[in-house]
Amino acid sequence: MSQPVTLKGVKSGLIVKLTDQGNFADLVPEIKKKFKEGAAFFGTKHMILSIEGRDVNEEETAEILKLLTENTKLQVDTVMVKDKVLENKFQEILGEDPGHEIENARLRKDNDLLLKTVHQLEAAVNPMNAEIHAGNLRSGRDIDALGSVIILGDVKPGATVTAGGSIFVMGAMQGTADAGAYGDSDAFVMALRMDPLQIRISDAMAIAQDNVPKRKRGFMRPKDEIIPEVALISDGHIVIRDYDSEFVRNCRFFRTDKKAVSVIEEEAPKPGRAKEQGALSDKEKDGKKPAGNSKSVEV
Amino acid sequence: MGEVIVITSGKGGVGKTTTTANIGTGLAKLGKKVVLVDTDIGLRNLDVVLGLENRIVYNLVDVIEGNCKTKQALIKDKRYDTLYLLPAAQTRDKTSVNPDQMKQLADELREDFDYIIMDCPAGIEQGFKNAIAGADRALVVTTPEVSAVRDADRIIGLLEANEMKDTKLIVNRLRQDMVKRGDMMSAEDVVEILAVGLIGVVPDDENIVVATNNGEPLAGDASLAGQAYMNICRRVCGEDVPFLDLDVKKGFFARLFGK
Repeated sequence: MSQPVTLKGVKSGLIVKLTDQGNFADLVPEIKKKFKEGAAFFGTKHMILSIEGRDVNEEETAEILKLLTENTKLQVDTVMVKDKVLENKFQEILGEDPGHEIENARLRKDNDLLLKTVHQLEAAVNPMNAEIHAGNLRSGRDIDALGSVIILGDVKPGATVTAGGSIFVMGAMQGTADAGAYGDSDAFVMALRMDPLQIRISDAMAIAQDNVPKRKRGFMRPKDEIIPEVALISDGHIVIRDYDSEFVRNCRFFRTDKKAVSVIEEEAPKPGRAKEQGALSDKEKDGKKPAGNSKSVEV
Repeated sequence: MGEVIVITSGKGGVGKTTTTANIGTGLAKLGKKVVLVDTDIGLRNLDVVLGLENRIVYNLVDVIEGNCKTKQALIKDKRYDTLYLLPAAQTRDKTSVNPDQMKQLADELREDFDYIIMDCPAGIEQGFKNAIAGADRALVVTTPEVSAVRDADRIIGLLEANEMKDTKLIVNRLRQDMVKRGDMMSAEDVVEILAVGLIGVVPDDENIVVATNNGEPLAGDASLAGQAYMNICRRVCGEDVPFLDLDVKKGFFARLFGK
C-alpha cells in the first residue's frame, strides 16, 4: 500500500490524501511532517484545502487545518470535504467570504472565454481573403473584418476601418485605419490618396501631424497629382511611402510562403490601440523633417 | 472638488460647441484644470473645434462600458496643459449611455478637475438627459432670434424641472449694429423674455468662424468675441466683470458716409 499521507498541489488548492486505515491520531505526526516538508514549496498563496480518501469529522478537519496554518504560510480560503454542513461550519470558523471563490471561478471562466475567442479569431484571420466594400465610408461608419478590406471609395474623417489583414482604399483615406488589428505587423494600408487622421498597424500607432494645411481639394488639385501611397511598419514605426514596384517586390504580404498570422497570446481581442505614438511622416512636406520619431523611407 | 457645468441650448446651431471650446480654453488660461466632455454621441464636433480629432483613441462610450480607464480616454489639449477633452463616440448613439452612468462619470472627474464642462447635444431627448445628469449648474446658449429664444425657454423649464439650481444665459452672435437699427433683439430683450441671469454676451464675429475652422479657440485673444468669452470665464469663476461695449468701431469712410 502507498503512504498513509500524501499531499498533492493543484492550481488553486492543496489536496490532502489520507489512508482510511487505522486511527486518525496516528496520522497526525505524519501530516505534520508532510506540511513542514512542503512549507517552502507551497509559498504563501491563497488556496482551497481538500481532504480526500477518508471520512474526517469536524474535530479531525480542524486538527488538519490547525497543522496547516502552524506549519506552512498558506492562506486557506475554503476547506472542501464531502460534508456540506461541515464545510459551511469551517467557512464560518475561517470567517472567509465564500463569494471570494465564486468571484475567482467567474474570472477564470471569463478568461477561458476570452482565450477561446482569441484563438477563434486567430484561426479566422487570413490576410489573403478580402472583403470588398463599395461606396464611400462616411463619418460614423465602422467596418470590421477578419481578413483584408478593399474599399471602392473614400474613407471620410470619423469613419474607421478595422482589418485583421491589410486595408486597400481605392480613393482617399481620410479617416482611421486599423490594419493587422489582431497582431499582423506585416499588414499595411494602401490608398490612392493618403490623408488619414490615424493609422494603426498591429501595435503601432501614428497620428496625423497638426498644423499642416490640408491638401487642396477639388478643382485646385491637378488630376495627375494622385500618387498611391502605403503606410507600413518599418523599425517599429509607421511610415508612409509611395506604392511603387519596389514596394511590391519587397512586400512580405505578397509572399506566397507567408505563414498564418502571428497573433496575440493574451489580452483583449483588439490590441491594436494606444501603443506607440509617432507622427505620420508625409513625403509631401518635403524638406521639413517629419515630427515625432517616425522615419520616412525614401525610394 | 470640481464643479460640473452643462452647456445647452435646445436649438441646434446656436454655438454650444464653440462656446464650450472657448470657455474651456478660457478657464485653462486662467490656470484652472478643465475637462470638456462631448456628450453628443454619434455627432461629435468638439474634437474638431479644438483641433484634436486625430488624437482620439478611446471615447466616452469606451469609458462608460469599461473598455478603458477614464485617464486613457482623456486627450490633452495642444496649447494648454490643464485642458483635457473626453471625446464622444461617433459610431454609436445617445442610447449607449444613461444618466446614472454620466452622473457617476462626472463624480469621478470631479476628483481631478476644477471644472467639468459638458457639451450638450441639441434636442431634449436622451442626449440632453445624459448631459445634465451630473451637472451642478447650467449655461444656456441662445441667439437673439425668436426660434432660439423659444427653445431656450423650454430648456430652462426642463432644467428647473430637473432641479438645476444655477442656470445662466449666454446670448451669442449678437449684432450691435442691427440691435441699434431695431432689427434684432438686444441682450436685455432676451433676458426679459427668459427671466434668467445673464452671464455673457458674445458678438457675431468673423474671427470665430476662422478659429473654429482652424481648430483653435480664440478665448482671450484681442478679438471682441475672444474678450467676451474670457469675461464669461471670469464670471464663471465668480469674478464680477462689467459687460463689454459691443459697439463695432467704424472705419473712417464709414464714419464719413454712414449714419
